Amino acid sequence: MEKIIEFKNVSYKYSDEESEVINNLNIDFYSGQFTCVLGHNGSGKSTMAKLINAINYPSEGSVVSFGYNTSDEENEIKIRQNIGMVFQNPDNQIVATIVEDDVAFGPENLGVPRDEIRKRVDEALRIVDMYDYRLHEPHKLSGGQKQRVAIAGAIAMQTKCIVLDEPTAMLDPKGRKEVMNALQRLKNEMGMTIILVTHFMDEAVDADRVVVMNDGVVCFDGTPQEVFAHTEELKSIGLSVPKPLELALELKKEGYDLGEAVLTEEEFSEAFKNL
Amino acid sequence: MSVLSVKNLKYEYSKGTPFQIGALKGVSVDFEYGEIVGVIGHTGSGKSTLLQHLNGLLKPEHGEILFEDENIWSSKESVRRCRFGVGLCFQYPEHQLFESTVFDDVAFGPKNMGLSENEIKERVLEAVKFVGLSEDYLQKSPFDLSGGEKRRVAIAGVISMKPKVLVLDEPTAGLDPVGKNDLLDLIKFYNKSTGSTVIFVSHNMDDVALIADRVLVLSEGNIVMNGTVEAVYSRGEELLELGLDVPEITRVFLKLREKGFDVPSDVFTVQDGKDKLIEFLKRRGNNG
Repeated sequence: MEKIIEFKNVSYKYSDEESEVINNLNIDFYSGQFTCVLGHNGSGKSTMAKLINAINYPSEGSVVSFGYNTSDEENEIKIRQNIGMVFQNPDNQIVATIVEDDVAFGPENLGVPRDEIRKRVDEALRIVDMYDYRLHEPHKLSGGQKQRVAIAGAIAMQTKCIVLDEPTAMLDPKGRKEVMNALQRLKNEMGMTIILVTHFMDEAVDADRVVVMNDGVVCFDGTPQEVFAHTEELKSIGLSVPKPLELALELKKEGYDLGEAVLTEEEFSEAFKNL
Repeated sequence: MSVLSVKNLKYEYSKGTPFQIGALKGVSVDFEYGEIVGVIGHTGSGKSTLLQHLNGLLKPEHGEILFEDENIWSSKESVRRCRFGVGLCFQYPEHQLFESTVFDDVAFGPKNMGLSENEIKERVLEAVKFVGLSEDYLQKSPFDLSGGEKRRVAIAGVISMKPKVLVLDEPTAGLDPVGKNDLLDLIKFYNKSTGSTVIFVSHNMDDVALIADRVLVLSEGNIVMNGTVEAVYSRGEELLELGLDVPEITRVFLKLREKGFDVPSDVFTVQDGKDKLIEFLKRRGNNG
């Protein structure tokens, strides 16, 4: 797989703080991968997300996104054309008064021809399942719908990668599911690279790769099965593991072994058949 | 006597326009002294509208709210009594901090109550201690704190008024697992040590299972379920139909049932789940 984002010895601190939020971080992200970044509040995961997209610049070391060094101001536009970002609050990201105008905002600014914009907007809204709402007013949509419009805005820019910083934190369970389904479609149908920062362990179980941050460094990096096998360590840094796995581990203590690849209720119930 | 009673409450948004929406369609419910009530319902079910009626932020168009048996809208004094007696903490309360120090922010409520300076100080110290912050924080600017700390300060600002009823709209939204558990422990501790009633809205069924004595389920402006956690959560399939979630562990048990295992469906916590499955395995072992 092609390496598209590269962190080399990156440190970062907010100017008025003494300690570093990101501490000599080395990590790469690959094309087409769905990566989930976990960590407690203050672990540095959101800061890392902003370093990818040249919102934050490293205090030391370098971040290279799609071949462009983020510290060079001239690269900013090129980086943002490749990487879209979606934030936590659905109400802060929408600029237009009609859904399709909002999605068209990015390509319009790039000077994309009118017919091409029409095509991109329709495609983007279809893939996040918001096409039927294209003429609606955004402020009347639910949180999950607003977040999907924000995602469509990034797709219409034809970015190759989307970074999402806790996009479901303010949504209800239905909205969360809608957004997660949209992300899976982006990956499967468009081959989009997705970097999802989240607190919800159950959103990580379907990812290709899980990265766990603590005190500004990566402490686990692997498949969901590999990472969640470190249950005790994860708990000690303020995270939990998916509930089906937690239940399986409790049963294991009593002598009933379901294995460690039981992150979902489906996997749990299948493993349970073998007891 | 109930501490707070809602009687046949109706409320409509955008009244008289084409966008008129019935937010509450005749809700009646009592809240008792000392209980913790979890309120669930999907977005638009009317739960926030209900909450805003409880301390007089919205005035009922139809029906009434009784605080300690007195209609809160019967006089100026009764509204005032209700505003201090029922403390409301909004969603993302940290966005509402505004004073230059933590002390002043927490003191805002008690000051408005007209308490003496000594009493105010006492209340602030107590409230800040309650939410687990040390006195070192008092002179800091609330804007220099972390998200979790800010939320604690905001909650302290409500607790400092010593409300008989503490109402919280999604208190754990956006917190990490540890921050979430700490806050739930704190709410439970506050309830146990002061005897205050706590009413909280949550999307997280696991949170509700952990601390609530009773659960209200709202759907389309009506209360559709009202009972103990066990009674409400055992109707897992109905909850899913209402667009709600069930706790993660309950989903595991529903899946096991779907695959033909004769296990109960009213299981909500890992500990309980483990006991029920061991019981099941032993029973099967004996029969087989």
